Amino acid sequence: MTHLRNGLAAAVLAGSVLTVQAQTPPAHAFRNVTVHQADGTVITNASIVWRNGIIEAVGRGITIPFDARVTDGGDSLHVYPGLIDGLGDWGTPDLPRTFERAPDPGNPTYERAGIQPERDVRPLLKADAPEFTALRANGFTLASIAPKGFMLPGRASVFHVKGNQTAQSEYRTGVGVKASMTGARGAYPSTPMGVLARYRQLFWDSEALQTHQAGYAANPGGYSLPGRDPVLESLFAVRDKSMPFHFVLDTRAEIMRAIRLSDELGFRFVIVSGKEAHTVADELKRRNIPVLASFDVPDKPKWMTQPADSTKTLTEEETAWRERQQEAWTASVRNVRTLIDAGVTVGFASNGLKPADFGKKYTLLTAEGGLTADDLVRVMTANTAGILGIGSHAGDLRVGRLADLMVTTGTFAGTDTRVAYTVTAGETTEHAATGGANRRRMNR
Amino acid sequence: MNKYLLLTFALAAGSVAAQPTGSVLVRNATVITVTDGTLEDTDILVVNGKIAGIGRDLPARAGVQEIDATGKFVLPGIIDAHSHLALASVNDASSPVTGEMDMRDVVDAEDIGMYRALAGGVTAIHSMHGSANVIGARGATLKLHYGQPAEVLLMPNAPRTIKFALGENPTRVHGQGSGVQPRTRMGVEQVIRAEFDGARDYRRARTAYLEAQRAWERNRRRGPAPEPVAIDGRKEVMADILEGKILVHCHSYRADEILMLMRVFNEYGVKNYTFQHANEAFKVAPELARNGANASVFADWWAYKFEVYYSTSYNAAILNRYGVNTSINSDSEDYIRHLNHQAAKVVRYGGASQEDALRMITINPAIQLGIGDRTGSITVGKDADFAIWNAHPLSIYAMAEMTFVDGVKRFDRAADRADQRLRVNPTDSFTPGTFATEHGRHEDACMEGVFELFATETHSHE
Repeated sequence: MTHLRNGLAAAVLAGSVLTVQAQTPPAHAFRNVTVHQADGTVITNASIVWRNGIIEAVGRGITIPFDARVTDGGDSLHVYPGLIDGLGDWGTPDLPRTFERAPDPGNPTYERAGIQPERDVRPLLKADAPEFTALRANGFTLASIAPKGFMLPGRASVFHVKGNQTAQSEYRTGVGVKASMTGARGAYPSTPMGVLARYRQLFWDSEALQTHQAGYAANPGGYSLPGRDPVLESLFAVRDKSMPFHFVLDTRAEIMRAIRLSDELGFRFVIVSGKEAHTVADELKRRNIPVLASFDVPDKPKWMTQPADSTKTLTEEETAWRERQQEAWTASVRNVRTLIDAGVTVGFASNGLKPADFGKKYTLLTAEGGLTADDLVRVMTANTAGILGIGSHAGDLRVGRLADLMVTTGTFAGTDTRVAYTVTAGETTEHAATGGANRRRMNR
Repeated sequence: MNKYLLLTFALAAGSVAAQPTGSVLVRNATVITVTDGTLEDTDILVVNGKIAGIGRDLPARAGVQEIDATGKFVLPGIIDAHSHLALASVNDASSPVTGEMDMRDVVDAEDIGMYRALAGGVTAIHSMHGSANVIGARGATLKLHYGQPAEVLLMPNAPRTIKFALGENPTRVHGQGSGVQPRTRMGVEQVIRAEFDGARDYRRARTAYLEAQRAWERNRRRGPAPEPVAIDGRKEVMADILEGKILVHCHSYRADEILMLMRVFNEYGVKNYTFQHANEAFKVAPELARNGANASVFADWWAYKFEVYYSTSYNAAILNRYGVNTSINSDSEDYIRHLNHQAAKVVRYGGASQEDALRMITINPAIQLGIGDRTGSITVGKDADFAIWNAHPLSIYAMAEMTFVDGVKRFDRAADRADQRLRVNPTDSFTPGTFATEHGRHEDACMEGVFELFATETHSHE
């Protein structure tokens, strides 16, 4: 038995090696589809061809290779660039619900303090996390993922969204270091002011360590032995601005604190979430700070949707307050629009928003947020890719880019539109269309 | 929208935000200068935020608004040397020493408490870290430019300050709570001494490194560079205290611990400090006077914990009589609205003069914050920080009608709306903007946020 099995395995192995040597991997194509490029260009009656995970041709009247496995769109399918999540925490471990007070709260370990900028997310990912499948069913093909946590939870790396193969499908390691203003619970630093002080000290310590290590390397005789410190060493790249912080910030006050801190310490950063970024849009434009925006815009306050209660007389104060709340709500739901109009580069970050809620947020953003479906697509594809530093390789339907496609039954975010196929780095997944129950499952 | 335009300008101008200033001519007021007597039927001319003239029948200025204050009183803006308003967080109780932290980093420009303080004639506050830690964060001296962003509220070039705390709070939080030093008042002293000793060593080592680094640069970087000594944010602050660059404001109650800290400070050469609360300071008034120490006290607030039982409403008057620079503070979003009445208690119970009582809420706290040369009295050349009152400010009927900060009218009772909050959240339900319903009184604002540290919820927003 054993011999037989080994022999079979050897034969299969030999066969597969021969296959690779003898044949080019087959091409794939959609034809008779409407192609939507990231800049809004629409090509009807088009085809798109890819091989080996890379787009080979796109447009009208192109020749489809003889070996291509072709899907005919019958003029009803729409092909968009695959969506990209600029920062999510998919499949990463949840934080404990409660924290014991640290034994010496003023001197916690890096881990206890939530300071782990060196942490790689890949070994943390839960391979069978249902979100990876749900993301793909929603047309996502790439996702930047970093762990959940406090001040510096870990590095963000980009993964191909491939269902339960996602965790093994890393595309780029370390596109940013996730950062926040949130203090640890029951350990130093536990407040925004503590977190700011801690950032300063980390930068000073990192700078001294780097100088010490460089001096020792060049002149071993004149120095004490420099220590090794993965946390401080991982900040070398942040200090020399080759690696940005992906800074989770929402309020105007938080954003301004980060801007002042970056002036002081000298680091580059991308705003993640940025719900009040519209209040400082011109400043962000001036400083060229991009935003991976949250789509988690609030629903209308109840009083705006319910019919006026004729039995209740509003005070003058509440009437005035309602006017202001309406302004505040409008400004909030138009956050992305305001940023784009100011010239800020805006991408998308799920940052905790669940796939099941994506659809209704698209609807809210297009109905009330001043955004078109094309705006949403651009934000969630080319813009996000650019902010993640992969813009020349992904995020658009052009020759040489990753074969990442979202194929829909109508225009994106349309009422009856659903995602029919997702192509991730050339691998096609078909999403069955069996009505409401199935849609719910896909959106899980 | 204006607020953000201004912000953009402030950022473009560099790290020092442009302070808004205004011009105004107040006519025919009774002017309580605080440092130079009370002047009847007197005009005050303000030009670009500074007091430019005080006198009778000052000539009108083109483009400068005139306000008829006939029958009204002008008092310098009240200054509260002990506040926790306008802060995103008050205590970082995770460590007994947090001098590296800075309240100026976390000013909350939207705190309605500032507007309510303006309505009580207050123009500047000292927003401090709480009293959980032996050595807390540095403080923020704010001008109440309510409606402006945080960077505009910070008084430009105000001396740095820092919060210390003795007694029950730090021993309870750290000794009893976390099992680390200090567990006792003795331990509190040792924490301070250890920080000072460590800071001296650090400054020596860091200075030597910087000198060696400069010499190496001068020598065209020949030979190995000196081995670096990293900046230590906490020790930098402690060393600056020893060098007189940061003013200490120390939460304290008991006479013995007040004497202890003065002994430690004398030993290490620390001067120019203020005891906050200091309910037993009257027992050591001569010692305080001899050391040039300041006191910032309540008029009559005590018995909220064991170490605050031995107290008297004569505290401020006794300190004042011994020549201790004394201020009356609020430590409260309620008391700050009527610090004039708090000051009046010192006249009623301690027999202090009305002039001295008013000094205790104007020039005296200004001196304690190191800004006495810039505000705290109606003096030509000083910042135009004052309020116009409908009656003598020590009267129980007195109300501030208008409050000016750097010459800008930040409060006008005639234009007061029911809701002066700056922010309406898109998802909140309506709550009235009046004082009582929004907050209520904190029993011990000093300990705000301490127990949050050990809360069970994982997710926190500020």
